[in-house]
Amino acid sequence: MAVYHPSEVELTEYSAGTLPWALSIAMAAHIHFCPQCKARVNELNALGAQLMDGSSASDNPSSQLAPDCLSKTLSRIRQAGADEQVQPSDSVPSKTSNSVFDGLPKAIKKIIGNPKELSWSFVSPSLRAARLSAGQKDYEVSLHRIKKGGSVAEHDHRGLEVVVVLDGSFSDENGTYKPGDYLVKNPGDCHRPTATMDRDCLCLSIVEAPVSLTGLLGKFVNPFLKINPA
Amino acid sequence: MYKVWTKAPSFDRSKAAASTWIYTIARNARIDFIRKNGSKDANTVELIAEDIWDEENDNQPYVYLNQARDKATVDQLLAELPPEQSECLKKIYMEGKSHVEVANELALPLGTVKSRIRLGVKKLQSWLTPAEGVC
Repeated sequence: MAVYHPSEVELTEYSAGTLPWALSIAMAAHIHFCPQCKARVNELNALGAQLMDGSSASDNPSSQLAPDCLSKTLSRIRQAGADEQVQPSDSVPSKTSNSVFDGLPKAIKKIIGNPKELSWSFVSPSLRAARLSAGQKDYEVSLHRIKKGGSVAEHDHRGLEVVVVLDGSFSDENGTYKPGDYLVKNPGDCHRPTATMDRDCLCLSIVEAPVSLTGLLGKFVNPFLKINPA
Repeated sequence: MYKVWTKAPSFDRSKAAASTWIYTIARNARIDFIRKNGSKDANTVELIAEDIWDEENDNQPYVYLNQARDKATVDQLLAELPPEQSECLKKIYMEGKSHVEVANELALPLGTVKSRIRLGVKKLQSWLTPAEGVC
């Protein structure tokens, strides 16, 4: 069960649909593992419903319905009934029998596509990363895989980073993170993640700006780090 | 409303109030509409709101334990919420703004808007799940 949760503000924005797209993917990943936050979102959706219900068109002139709205909708429904066909329910490839990827939330599975075709790049001896295309331009969305027992170089953050553990676990100075745990890192938050010994750790990472390695290594490497939002 | 009709067979009254269910469909449709009309890369994956706001694919009993909400409870809560808290929530839900945009519009510090949202949401939680312990 996840121990580290998103804030009320993030949950509210997710429920309202105003949380940035990439962060909403991270939230979907967390909720997949966290029944409590799922319940919170359902409560917030009920709030949204009530607000929607209570707002009359006169409050907002731009939301006035066209006079022929009802007839248009009805004819669209009739049309759909006429050429109704059973559509294939989903295009997510499901034939790969990779247990780690099978257990992932729907949105993540979809942007991964075929896990065998992920292009993992070498970041450090213990860390591999695979960039994902999420359909937005504000954050880099990627999968990170830390080798079991392996450590990632200590780093600071130059912008917001949200990490959701998808499989395995890792720890840093502040705690141990298991599947579903939702971590928010801001500039000034320094850490050195280390995967636990039992298995590789797979995380979803959403970053707004490149991380900043600390120490001498950082002096050489940091100017060359960049992100690739997609 | 067309989407509501096409999805009607998937509606499960034991899981959610009809108004909440319709709200989630309307919200997802709005998100997809805005994204379709915004600029985006030609080679993006076909991720749609329903993939991220995946309300249907959930069968954890805990989640829906208290799901069929009494509409009046939320209604009453909204009426009793301090106006500054309900104002922030309305702007987020009905005007589609982020908390940063709300803070800018009302010329308030970010922390003030955040705490108004937090207080409002906490109250909602305490009303809807009074007996619950930690989260």
